[in-house]
Amino acid sequence: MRFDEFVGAEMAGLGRFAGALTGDADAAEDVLAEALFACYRHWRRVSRAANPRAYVRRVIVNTYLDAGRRESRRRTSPTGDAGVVDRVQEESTGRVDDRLAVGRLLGRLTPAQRAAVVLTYYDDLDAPAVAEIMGCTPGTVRSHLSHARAVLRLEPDPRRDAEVVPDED
Amino acid sequence: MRIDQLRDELGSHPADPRRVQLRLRSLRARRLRYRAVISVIALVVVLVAVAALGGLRRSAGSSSEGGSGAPNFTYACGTISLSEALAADDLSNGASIIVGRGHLTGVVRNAPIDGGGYRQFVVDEVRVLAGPALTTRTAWIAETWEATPLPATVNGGTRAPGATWSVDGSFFGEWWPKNAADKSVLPMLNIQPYQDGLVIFTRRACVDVSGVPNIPYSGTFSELPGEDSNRYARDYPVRAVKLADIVALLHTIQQTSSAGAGCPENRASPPVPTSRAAPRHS
Repeated sequence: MRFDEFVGAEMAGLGRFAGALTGDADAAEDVLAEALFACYRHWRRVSRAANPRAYVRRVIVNTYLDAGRRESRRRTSPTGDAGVVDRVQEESTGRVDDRLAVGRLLGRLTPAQRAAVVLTYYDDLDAPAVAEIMGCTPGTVRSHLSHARAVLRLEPDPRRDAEVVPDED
Repeated sequence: MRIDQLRDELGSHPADPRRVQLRLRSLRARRLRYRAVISVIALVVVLVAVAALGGLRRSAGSSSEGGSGAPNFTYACGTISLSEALAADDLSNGASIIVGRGHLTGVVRNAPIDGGGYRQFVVDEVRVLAGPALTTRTAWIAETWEATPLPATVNGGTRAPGATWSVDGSFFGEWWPKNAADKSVLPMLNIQPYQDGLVIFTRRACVDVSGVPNIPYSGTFSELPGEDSNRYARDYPVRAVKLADIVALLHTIQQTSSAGAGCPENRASPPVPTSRAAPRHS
């Protein structure tokens, strides 16, 4: 498949995925364009991958994580530190109904935690698949999800309860 | 927070596909421009390198043909006109412009520095068109020593031919006398074929003859043994100029030179410093 054909067929889904990762349409467009451009430059290799769609998503995630790292170097206030997790856990009994509040809580996640959340709860991927895209171990993914669930005060997901157990590592 | 709330929120900021496409197109265009710029820079670097190589060859050729202070115009490679070559390299620097007939003796001598070869050539008949009279009839012709191929021409040629002259021995040439300052530098001779009143310029001469009437020419010439110059000469345009036109050109140059005597800015540039030594007496 040619690059332009792939982009034409997948753009809508990729746009939603990038938007879920960044939480901001403008940032999503930047990340997605940059990621697609990277794929374009190496399209021969990408198109030969077993699953080009997963490969492109991996590039998008990496681009998003790199952008997060660049951003964190520019800023001094960490967003996903243990203090935040602790405070959220103290309030974990309250339900968050307000959409803005949901957005604010998502904003407290680290990029890696958010990526794990998006791939897990938005793309419905299991931990090994998420780990493959994020380039880490399933245990690390579960760890990210555990912290993210605490920050988000996420209700238990019956389908995933068995999966989202923090690893010992 | 419920899962459906989370999904709603995650799906509420999708990237606009059109804007992503525009941004992507912009990045691709920028990459194309970047590659174009890189290509141009690379091309410029190559051209500069080729030009520098040409300059080195020219300066080395000057040395090989004339020894110290005795440059030639054979490696100007078309960037210098015939009149400029004659004025700058010959008449201003003590060379004699001649037509004549001669032959190789078979004697070969190597330059002491770079090992380039020189063939002894004896002039049997000579007519001096400009410059001082000859003090000897024996001179040396430099072998073609361009081991490095030249850029390909439209005809596919990659190497300049060596010295050629007419099959009956007739030639047009520049004769560089023995160097006055360095007695070990032998007399040198650059020759082109001369026949039927025409001086034939192969790429060996490397001068631009477009400033004088000229015609295309094809023919077979005498050449230095082993150089295959007739074959290489055919890879490049070969032009013929009437000797009468060259004589007229020489007169013009001499008149201009006389008028400009004492005005250094009216004179041709001094020869390029040389790096290849002419053959010397051992």
